[in-house]
Parts: sequence; structure tokens; C-alpha cells
Amino acid sequence: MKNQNRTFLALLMRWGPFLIITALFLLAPQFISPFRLSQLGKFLTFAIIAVGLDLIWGYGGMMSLGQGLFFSLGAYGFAMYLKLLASGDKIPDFMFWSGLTELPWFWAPFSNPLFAVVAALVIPSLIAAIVGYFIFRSRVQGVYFSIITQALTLLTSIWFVGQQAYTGGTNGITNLGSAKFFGQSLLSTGVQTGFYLATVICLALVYVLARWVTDSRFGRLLIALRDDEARVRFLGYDPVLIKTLVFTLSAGIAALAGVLFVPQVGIISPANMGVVPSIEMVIWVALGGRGTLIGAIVGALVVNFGRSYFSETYPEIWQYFLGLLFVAVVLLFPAGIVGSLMQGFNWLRIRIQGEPMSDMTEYGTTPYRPITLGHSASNLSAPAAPAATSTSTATSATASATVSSPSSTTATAKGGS
Amino acid sequence: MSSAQQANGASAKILDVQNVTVSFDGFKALNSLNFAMDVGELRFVIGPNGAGKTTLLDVVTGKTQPQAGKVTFNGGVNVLRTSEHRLAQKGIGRKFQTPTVFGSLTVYENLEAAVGFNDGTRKLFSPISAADEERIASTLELTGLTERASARAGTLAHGEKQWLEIGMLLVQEPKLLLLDEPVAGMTRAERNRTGELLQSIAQRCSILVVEHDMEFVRSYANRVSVLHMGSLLTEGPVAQVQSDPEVIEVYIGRSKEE
Repeated sequence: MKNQNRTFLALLMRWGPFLIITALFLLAPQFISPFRLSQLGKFLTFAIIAVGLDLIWGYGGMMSLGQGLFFSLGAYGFAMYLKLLASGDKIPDFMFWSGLTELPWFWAPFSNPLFAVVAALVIPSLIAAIVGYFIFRSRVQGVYFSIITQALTLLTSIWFVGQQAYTGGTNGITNLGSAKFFGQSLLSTGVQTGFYLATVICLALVYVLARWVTDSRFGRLLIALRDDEARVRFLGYDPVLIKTLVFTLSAGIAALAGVLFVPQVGIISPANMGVVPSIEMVIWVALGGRGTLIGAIVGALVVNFGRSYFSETYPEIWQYFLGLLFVAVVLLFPAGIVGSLMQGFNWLRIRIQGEPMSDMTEYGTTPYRPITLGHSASNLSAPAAPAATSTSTATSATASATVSSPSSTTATAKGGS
Repeated sequence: MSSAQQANGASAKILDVQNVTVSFDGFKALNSLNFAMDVGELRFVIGPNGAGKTTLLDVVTGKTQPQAGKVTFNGGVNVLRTSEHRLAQKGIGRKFQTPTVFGSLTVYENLEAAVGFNDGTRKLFSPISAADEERIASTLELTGLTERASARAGTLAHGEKQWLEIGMLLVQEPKLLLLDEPVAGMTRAERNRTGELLQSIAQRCSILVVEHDMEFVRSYANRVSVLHMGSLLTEGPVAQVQSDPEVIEVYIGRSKEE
């Protein structure tokens, strides 16, 4: 029974902060202006992208510069629905301007909201799955993976610009204001608040999903892939499968962010798709702290609010501020904001209690797993293989310092959400 | 050489390498090599630098495709037509020359990653079975790493990393274990400890050890194969091989010059 209490406490420690923060975000519409709310909603969709990117990059070690593409494809998919809704019986304005008289066949099904959302999520995921499979099968790694995904992003954005009649070209899909939900304009506070709340809930769900993935054996295999892919392969796993799966998942998450972005911002254009936005996404995660998930969210919010603050306060020089901030963090705090905080916390803990709080990795923390082998501990004294005795003298000194009590460390830094 | 092959033919072979040739830009790393191992054997392969020892391991694990030849594992598996991870699943475990463990994961997590190698992707989202946990526990004991279980593998000493990597293979209960210079860079105490470990695991599976350290080979080997310029030079008990004038000529003589 005491044990049960303890697990309950650990759960509370771990998920308590998460629940509180989620609740605060859900209550935000009561306290902040519609302008700030729409800003926050937009940045939270960015945070969703960042969580997906952290999965593949922070954990899996693959720096994808294709997230902007998947995000935009998701956004375009839902924008098509909104555009059709806004245009009523007529064909969308930009098509008319480009000389089209009939709705293209592939636009037609997007008048169904369910189809639009499903397609907006499935198409980018499918592209990631197919492209990822071939990239990973030919064992493209490291910077070459980044370059290929970047090229794919660039290619698609150029293509979208060229297809004026079907995609709205450089302007993208905009003028969505006359779309109505339950008789209310898309721009009305009610509808906007609805999309904001949906964003908060989606971010919470994506975070829980990502946490579940990284806490599983699959998540630890991702870290293993980051450390040494050949070892993973020679252990009997197919890295192609694992990598394709996580790439697809991160693409799907980015697409979800796109779906939530469009109704709140009211426009999607190739400018959101290109190379620069994709690199910015990487910056969010790097700044917040790779391999922590929370860091990705923090990074996305800090960078975007920072940009908004600087650009309002110092319109001439805000870009330098942002650049400096990025350089400073990368040079001084390579573990990112959250990673550095965790390290500092850990350092304090060692100083005060003489006991490490959690096991630090290069980027942050690996999810700490207590060893639950009751029998192995009790068997220690039994005459084991001849091998066991000779090393124990050499290692016991260090071992006592590193083996910490599982119960006190379960909560670790993960509770920091 | 031919007599040794005939003798091997009588019992079941865990590994059969026939006429394998591997060339890199004209350089023949393996030159129609014939090599066979019986089930349960602990075999050492020695040879000077560039003799083709590591290339042999690369071929057997599917990393390198030979230009010619045939490799059969455990009677029926055509090694050359099986991908690397499938070979591992079928029971060929390989330890790399430099210790290769997952530095960001703990010792326990490294073994956990190894033990689940036969689980499908879906099972990777649930914890390992109690039987697997037990296997990890006994492997931790065998390798003497029980107390280090929650230490991050990146913080281990060189020798401990080597043992962990061996442990990661053992926990998979391979049929054939390939070890590439397992004692390189180890202290004398660590070497002895590794030798003992080898002998105790030799009872569970067939082991092929590529080794440079002659002293280690003398202490722990029974049968030794000598590779030279990509071919099998000779094969036999340690004492016999050591006194073979040809071996002294190509191996020991040369290593003295170096």
C-alpha cells in the first residue's frame, strides 16, 4: 500500500505540472486580449511542430529540414476546405484571376471538412514515409539527410509558387474571412477561441504521445540509433523501419500543426513552406533543448514571443537581437534552455544531497529507468560466474557513486513540464 | 588444410566459408578463402595486418558482399543473400573492434535494447517480458556489471564497455559469436577477466575470435586458424601452429620487424 502511494506521488510529480500548465493555457482566453490570444495560438501550433522535430532530431539524431514542408502541406489541405467554404458557390478568387472557370477535380473533395483534415494529415505523412523509406534504405545519414529534406522542401515551395491557378502561387491561399462556422465568421472571437482551445488540446495530446514514445523501448532505440546506427543494425533491428516510422510520425505532427495554424492566421503561402521556416524550426528546438520534449515547446514559445517583443519594441534592430540570442545559446548553453536548467538542477542536487538527480546526456536527460530486478540484487552475494568477483573490486568504488536509489529519482526532471 | 576440412565435414558446421574472394579496387582482402567451424567450437583467427581477418567478419555478418564464393551459416542459412539485421536475428552476433555501445543509455538499457531484438515494432512499445528481465540480470552478473546497471554506458571504463558489448550479444543467445580483437587496449587484469569470460560463454555458443595479442591466444585458444594475404595459411592446435615455420615466417617474424 505504501508502494501504491509512492507511485501515485510519482505520477503526480510527473504529470502534475503538465496538467496545471495545460489548464492555464485552456483558461488563457479569459485573461488575455484576442490579439495576444491569436498570437499565442499561432505559437502553440509552432510548439507542436517542435515536439515532432524533437522526436526525430533530439532523440533520433536526424535533423529534418522538411518540417516546413509537412507543416505547409497540412496547412494547405485545411486551407483548401476553408477557401471553398469562404467562396460559397463560386470558384476561389485566385482561380478566377488565373483564368480557371471550373474547380479542379482534386479540389472538389476538400469541400468536405472530414476529408480535408484527413487528407491534410495523411498526405504529408505518406510523403514522409515514402521519401524516408528510400532515404534511409540507401543509408543516407547526418548532414546529407538534412540536405535532401531541405532540397525537397525547396523544390515543393518553388513548384507551389509556379502553380498559380491551383495553389494561389506566391500569395498562397488567403481571404478566408467569409468562411462561416455555426453561422459565425472564421474571424469572430468565438470561432478563434475554439481553434485556440483545439490547439492547446492537440499540443497536450501530441506531447503525451511523444512522451509515451520516448519512454518506451522504441524511444530508447531511437537514442541508440543516434548513438550508433551500425550497432543497432547488427543487434538485429532494421533501422530503416524505425527511422521511417519516426520520420512519418514527425511529419504527421507537423501537418497537424499546419491544420491548426491556417484558421488562426488566415493565410498559408509558400513563404511558410520554404527553407528558412524549416531552419527556424530547428532553431526553436536547439534553443529550447534537444531531447527533452519540453525544451522544444519552450524554445518555440521563447523564440517567437522574443521576436514579437523585439520587433514591437526595437523595430530596427530586432533581428540582431534574435541572432545574438541564438548564437549565445548555442555557444554558451549547447544543451538549450531546458537542458541547461536540468543540468544546473542536477548539479545542485549532487552538491546538496551527494546524489545524482538524473542521468545527463549530451543534450539533456535520458528518461531515467529504475532497475526493477529484485532478484538480481539478492543474487549478488551468491557465487556467480568466476568473472564477477575480479571486477567488482575495480568497479565498486565508482558504482556506489553512480547507482542511485530508484524511488527518489523516478520523478526526475521529467516533471518539469 | 585439406585434412582439417575433411574432419570438419563429419560433424555439423556452424559456419562454412567456401572460396570467398573480396577485392577492394584490385586488392584482394580475401583470396578464395576456405574456412569452417564446428558447432560449439571456440576458434581463434590470427594473422598479420591486412590478412583479411576483419574482412572475414564483415562477410559473415553481411556487411561486405564478396565477389565470389559461398557462405553458409548453421547448415542452411545463405549468408550472402541475407541482410545484416536478419543475420543477427538468426543468431550471428558481432562485437566490433572498438567498443560500440549506446553511450547515452544506461548499461541496463543497452542490454534491454539488445534483448528485445526479436520483438516486432509493435512490441517495442510495451515493456520486456519477465523472462527477458531475468536474462538481463544473469548477463549483468556474468559480465560483472550488475553494480553498474544504472550507469550511463558512455561513462564506463574501456574494459567495461567491451564487456557490456559482449553482454549485449550474450543476452541475445546467439548461435555464433564473432569477436573482433576483444582484448585490444585492455590492461592485463582486464585481459585475464575477458579470457575467463570467453571460456565460460564458449559453453553456450560457437565463438570466433579475431585476435592480435599472441599471449592472449596462447593462454585461451585451442584451435587456431592463421590467415595470410586473404587465404587460410594453416589451422590446428596452438602449439602446432606456433611452431609452424611458415607461420613464424609470415606472422611472428614480420611482427618482430614492425
